[in-house]
Amino acid sequence: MRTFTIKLGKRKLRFSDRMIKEDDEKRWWIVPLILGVYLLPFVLDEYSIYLMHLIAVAIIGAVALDILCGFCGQLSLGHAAFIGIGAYSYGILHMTLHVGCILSLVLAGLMGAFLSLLVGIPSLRLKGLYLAIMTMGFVFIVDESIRYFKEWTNGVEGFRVSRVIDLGFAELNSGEVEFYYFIYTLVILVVVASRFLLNSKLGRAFTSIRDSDTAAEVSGINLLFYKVLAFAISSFIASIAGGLMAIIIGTISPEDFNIWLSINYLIMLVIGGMGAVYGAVIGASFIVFLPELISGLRDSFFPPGTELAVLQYLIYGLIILVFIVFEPHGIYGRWLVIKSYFKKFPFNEKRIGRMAWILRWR
Amino acid sequence: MIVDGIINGTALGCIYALVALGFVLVYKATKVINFAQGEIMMVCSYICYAGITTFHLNFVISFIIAIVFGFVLGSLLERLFMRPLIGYSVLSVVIATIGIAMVLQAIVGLIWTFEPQKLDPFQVSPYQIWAVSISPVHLWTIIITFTLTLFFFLFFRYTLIGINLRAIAEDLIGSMATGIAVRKMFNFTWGLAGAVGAVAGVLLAPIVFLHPHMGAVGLRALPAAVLGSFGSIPGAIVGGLVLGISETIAGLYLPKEIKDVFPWLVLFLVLLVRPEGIFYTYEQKKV
Repeated sequence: MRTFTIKLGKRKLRFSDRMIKEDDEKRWWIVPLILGVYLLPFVLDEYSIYLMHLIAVAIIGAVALDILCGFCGQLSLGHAAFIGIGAYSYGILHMTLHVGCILSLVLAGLMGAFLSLLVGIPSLRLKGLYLAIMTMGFVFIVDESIRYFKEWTNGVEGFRVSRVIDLGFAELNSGEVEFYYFIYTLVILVVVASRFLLNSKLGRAFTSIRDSDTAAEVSGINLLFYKVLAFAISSFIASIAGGLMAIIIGTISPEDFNIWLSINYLIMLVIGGMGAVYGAVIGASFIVFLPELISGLRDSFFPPGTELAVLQYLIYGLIILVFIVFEPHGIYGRWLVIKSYFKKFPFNEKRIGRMAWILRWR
Repeated sequence: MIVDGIINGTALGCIYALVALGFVLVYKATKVINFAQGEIMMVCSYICYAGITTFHLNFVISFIIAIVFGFVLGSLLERLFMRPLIGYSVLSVVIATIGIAMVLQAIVGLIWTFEPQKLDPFQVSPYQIWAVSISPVHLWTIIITFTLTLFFFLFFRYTLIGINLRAIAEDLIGSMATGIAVRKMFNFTWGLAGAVGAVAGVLLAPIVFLHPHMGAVGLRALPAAVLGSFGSIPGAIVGGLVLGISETIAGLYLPKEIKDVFPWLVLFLVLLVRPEGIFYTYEQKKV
């Protein structure tokens, strides 16, 4: 526990960092939040439930990317590749080879984790934007290999995946309320698990690699092991998200997993707030919801006949720009600033400065 | 066939090199990859197209207008969106450039629609040089690229602005302390990158059709910049040429799917062997 002292004129104020510690956050709001998520289908119509499915997949994917980029600091544009690998592995395992649903979902995740070695091992030598560009190349390579192995993946025509998932005791149809409960249970699992991950020894190792990998290596962290592990965990979760996405959208084709999907996931992280699990959740919900908002706006603000695609591009781009220029730390970052303002209320830095300046004349 | 492949590949490589040059100029000064470079290119070639078809100008004049427009656009984007972000994490800035790219695409789509347009100002019949025939577009691409390379070589070597830019790339804080107007220089760099993008766009337009999504070629030029170790101008040129020629020759023997990802495969292999790219000077790292 560190203590700070601040001199205000002749008086000294002492306070400890426990007063402003993150770990003491109040968790009472989690229970109503989870209850709210589970009660939401009662007030939503069918289309909104479908949208909530997409948001769930986006949350799982964004949290996966957050483990890699936000916790471990490995900038990756290859997320779409792993989501695509997951989707196609699930499709081939379940539809062609008739493996059970849950087993093929897990196997798809393992497949993604295994293929992530291809990117994970070079990440030992590549830093920052170089790694981003190489993982971007991985997306193109996976995209073209999906087109190339036509007899397995059906190429550009698209691969049909059954929209029913068989849990053994129940068959859930995607788009319906039961599937909603299934997928949000997964979301909560993933979020909770990654919160634990962040605060465990593993997470500490990841964050120290993010802050400086040379310093981490010097203090005894095995860089190869932890970096490859970060890639493996991230792409395991991402591939499971891909399998769920295949179940939800029904037909998958290589265009669904192009570089824009990766960029979209990065945008979710940056808008939500990087390195925080809740930030990823907020960003994912916001970005998936945005096109709906835009098509709603079109009817009320723009002349009829404006092309929706153009408008979506324009507003989407503008919102991203405005968000980043005014709030580069994301929504969650701003929330933390507001929260800490109220938490240490009389002792904000600005206020202390001002008081010291006033007390100087006494 | 091999000779034709080499010539076509050189022309393609020159375009890669020009786009990569835009990336490198910005990266060298500001340490940011500008994902909107392809879109700046696209906008400028549309400006050239508008000059020819809407205002009935000479091709050369509209080309010059496009270059000036590229300069203004680049420096404007820097002033509006990049300057508030100085000091924030690289990722935020990169995402901001992606946002710029989307907005530019949408604006062009609103003005000129998403229909592909044709911009082909060069004459069609190929030149014959000895036994080799070379199309005018390719010839001009190669000539302009090499002129520009020479220009940049002289510019960075002998002019005051060029020397300032090199100082900034070397040591940002130190050059601030010596009184170089760093912000103005950043602005100028973005303008320069925009102008190079305009040249690349107008030269690219006859090869692929004019289309709001034309800027995707910019992503294919990224391996060229990485091959030449981002931040080195001769590196970008060499990287572009290597990729262009190897891709075209690979296209003669390998299936189309492999040809499309060939730059990335080359990049993969080169980065595994030499992660810093080909033209790298070592730096010290502080922990």
